[in-house]
Amino acid sequence: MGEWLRRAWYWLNRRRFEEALRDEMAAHRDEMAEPRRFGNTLRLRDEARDVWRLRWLEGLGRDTRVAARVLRRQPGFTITAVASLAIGFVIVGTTLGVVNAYLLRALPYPQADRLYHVRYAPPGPWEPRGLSGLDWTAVQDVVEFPLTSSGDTFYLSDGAFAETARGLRVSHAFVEALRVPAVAGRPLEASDWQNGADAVAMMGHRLWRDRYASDPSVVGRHIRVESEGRRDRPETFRIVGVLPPGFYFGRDSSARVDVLVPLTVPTRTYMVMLRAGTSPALAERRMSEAVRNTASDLPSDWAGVVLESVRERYVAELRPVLMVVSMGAGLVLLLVWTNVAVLTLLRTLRRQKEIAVRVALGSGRAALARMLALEALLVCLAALVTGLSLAHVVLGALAPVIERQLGRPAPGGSGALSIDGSIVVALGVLGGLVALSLSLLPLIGRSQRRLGDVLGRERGVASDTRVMRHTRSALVSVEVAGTLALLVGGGLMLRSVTGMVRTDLGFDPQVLARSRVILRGADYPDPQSFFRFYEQFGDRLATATAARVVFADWPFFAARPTLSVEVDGRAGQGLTSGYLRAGPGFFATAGIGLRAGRDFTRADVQSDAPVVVVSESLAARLWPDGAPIGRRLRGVEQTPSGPTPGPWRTVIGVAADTRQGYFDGQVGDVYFPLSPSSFGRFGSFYLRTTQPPASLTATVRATAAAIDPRAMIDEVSAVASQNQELEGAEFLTTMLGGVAGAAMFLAVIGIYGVTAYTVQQRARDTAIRLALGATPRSVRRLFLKDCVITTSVGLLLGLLVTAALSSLLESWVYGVPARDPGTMALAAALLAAICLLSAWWPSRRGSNQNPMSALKEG
Amino acid sequence: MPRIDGLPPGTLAMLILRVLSSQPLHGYAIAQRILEVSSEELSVEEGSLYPALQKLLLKGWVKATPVVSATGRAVREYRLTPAGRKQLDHERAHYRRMSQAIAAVLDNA
Repeated sequence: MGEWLRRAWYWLNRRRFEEALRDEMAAHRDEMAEPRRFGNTLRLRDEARDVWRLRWLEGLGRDTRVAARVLRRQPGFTITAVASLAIGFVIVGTTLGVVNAYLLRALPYPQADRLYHVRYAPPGPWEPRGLSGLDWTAVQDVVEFPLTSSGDTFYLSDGAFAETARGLRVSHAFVEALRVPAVAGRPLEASDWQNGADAVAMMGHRLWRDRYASDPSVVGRHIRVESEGRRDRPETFRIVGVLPPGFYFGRDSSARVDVLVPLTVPTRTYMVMLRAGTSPALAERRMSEAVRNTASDLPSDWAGVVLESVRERYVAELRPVLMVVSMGAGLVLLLVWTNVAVLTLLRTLRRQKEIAVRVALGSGRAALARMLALEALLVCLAALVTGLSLAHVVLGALAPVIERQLGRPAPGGSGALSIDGSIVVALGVLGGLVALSLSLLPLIGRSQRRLGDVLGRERGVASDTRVMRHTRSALVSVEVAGTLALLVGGGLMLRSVTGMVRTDLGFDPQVLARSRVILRGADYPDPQSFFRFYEQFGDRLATATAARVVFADWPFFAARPTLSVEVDGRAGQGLTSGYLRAGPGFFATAGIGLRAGRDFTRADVQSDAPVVVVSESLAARLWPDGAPIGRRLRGVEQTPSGPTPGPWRTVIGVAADTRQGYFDGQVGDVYFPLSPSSFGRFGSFYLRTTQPPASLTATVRATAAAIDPRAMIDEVSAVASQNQELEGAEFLTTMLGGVAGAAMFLAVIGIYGVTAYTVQQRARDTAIRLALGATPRSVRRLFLKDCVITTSVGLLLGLLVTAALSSLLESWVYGVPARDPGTMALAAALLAAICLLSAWWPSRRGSNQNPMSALKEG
Repeated sequence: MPRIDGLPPGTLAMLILRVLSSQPLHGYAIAQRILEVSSEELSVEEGSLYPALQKLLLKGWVKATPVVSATGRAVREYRLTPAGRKQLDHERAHYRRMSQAIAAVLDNA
């Protein structure tokens, strides 16, 4: 280090140092009795100066300039190579950005790997009681922080319009463990939990931005909320800070938090941060003991506490999709590399003369290698810079799309979907490896030939070795193979998407919009008053929007809750069935066909009639004789106290089967009419309309406000947008399709380049053949033969790769097997045709030439 | 390092370091001192001292300060740094081991 500094210091003060040296040497000489013995002053001064020089660095600068000039003189090669590599880097960079944001940097909490969800009992209605008083100090050797929290709905009624906000009441350990930061104001502090402390809150970033226009003076202001948890007493909080934009929490770590307030009542804890180095198994044992000592109603077969890693749960669903996408990106980079490798090989062959001249003039093997390496490095550097900047732009533009298609926000906020330092480093290393491997390629075989040998050959025709030819063919075959794998992947996903779009799910998601009314419980004394609101609201909304409106208690594209159904006369033999409660005209509104009988009517709902509509499949299983209308069934609910049968209901209709997803095999459903008593403060409704959903929100809000100004309405959204399987499949189709397109383009360039080179190389040979009477056709066939061989090898290899990789797509394809022979054959045929075409084009030039001109040039 | 008649390569730097280890000196004085102590046995091309000194400066083993010589000329006085002293010890130890080994071969083989 010091040496570098001294060297730099010398060059900065070079004149002064050289002067001092000259002076002292002159003085020395003058003092000598025999100045001749001093030596040659000029040579000695040069030697002294050389000590400070970095020869290799100066050589490097010169060689870099030469390399840049050489590349500029061959724009065809340079542009193609830089563009292909840049495509590869963009795709890999974008993928890395997504993987980094979702998997590697997952969860914006410190030590997120030590956070665990706590489960006290298997999912279901029962949980041990008395756990809010669990003594956490007894397990503090394994649990560093118990993260206690309790969600609540807050109504913000001050201001322009009423709004619900997601409140989260949290323990002090919660903010300690997650180190909840503030982007404005301050975070919550220990004193905020003390008895008699001011009621304070932190505001979520979205609420701050949308309702308060990101006004920093919100800090210090008071907000008044009515919370559903404490319906009778409104609370006032002083805002002390604003949460960062990426703050999400909850079972899936994806729930937005609008208002964060201290939790002061004992509450059950569902998340813990373990101490560093504590194994989850040990923590499970210790916590189970603690629960045994505290819970009041543990059954003898209680299985104990189960811990689930917060991070694992968060990334588990995404990992397979991102795996597929990453593999695709990796494959593209491999193809890009192969393609540039082919181009580099061809270029080296064309440059044999130049290289021979350099060798004849005294350039050593090392110097040659350095020149080639510098050229490769410059190409990679240009591609890297282009690729990184494009990836940055692409990620910025695609961030919202990616978040929507992956179905969840990026853990660190949309901003986390970006090219950060680690990606730059990763891509830099990758680029370096690419450059290194490319620069080594031309050294394959004997790259230094005797000048006389090379110069003695005909103009423009360089010698080609067997190794070179085979390397080239192998590279092209690899390209074809990889392209086929990507094509098949893209094709399978495309067929899945078409299959999904063509599939009749039994209802019409395309013309359905959904929203939700939220009423304040305090304003409605009994279910009847809720019912009156909804009836009036539904009627007015239907008039205002000229659309059918219906309420239902369960959304589409979500697995329905189940119920055991038994038939009159066969009590005790229940069949499992999905169930849903819906309002009048539900089937007509949702577009579910009625195979027999009638829809629900207003009278059914008003009188709470004991009627039921059964899905086709379920009806066939319950009454194989085929006359379901007028028969009776009842639902039996599983409750902690055993099976509880509901009232007997008469079948009034048989509806077409509906599926809530493309892989949903549960098509047995029963539909009950919504009863006046089943209405509560939440009411989800559907509109059958072709108008854009967002444009309806204002109408719906106005309609609700005319009846109850304090009613709150969620944004109207398209039911089709809930179809995550289709969106996921579309995401993969776009990704793989785009990538396959890029790969095909590269394969075309590769094959075209190789054939064009062969044609040029064999011009003399062809000319003689033509002169001796060969037909252009037979000449073309000669050139195509090579291409047919490399392509066939590539296709065979590609089919093997595809067969091996297709299991990755197993869980994403729909309506077509992952190893579908049809898709493979089609993709292979398409690719073969394109390959032949890109060889045929240059071969035409070879066969159409004038034999005389080719021979004369020799 | 320039090649010097009568001196194995690399030795000149060691000699300079050794001479400077007793006192700071300027270029001419260094040459005089080497000749003096070696009883004029080591005849070096005196100018080759300067490229060698540049190397020592670059390595940080010596430091130069501008001074005026006894004859009134602007010269530089070279002074050993702690790093230079360490290097000298190292080179001396190395040299001693080498010459002993060579002597052993010459005497006993």
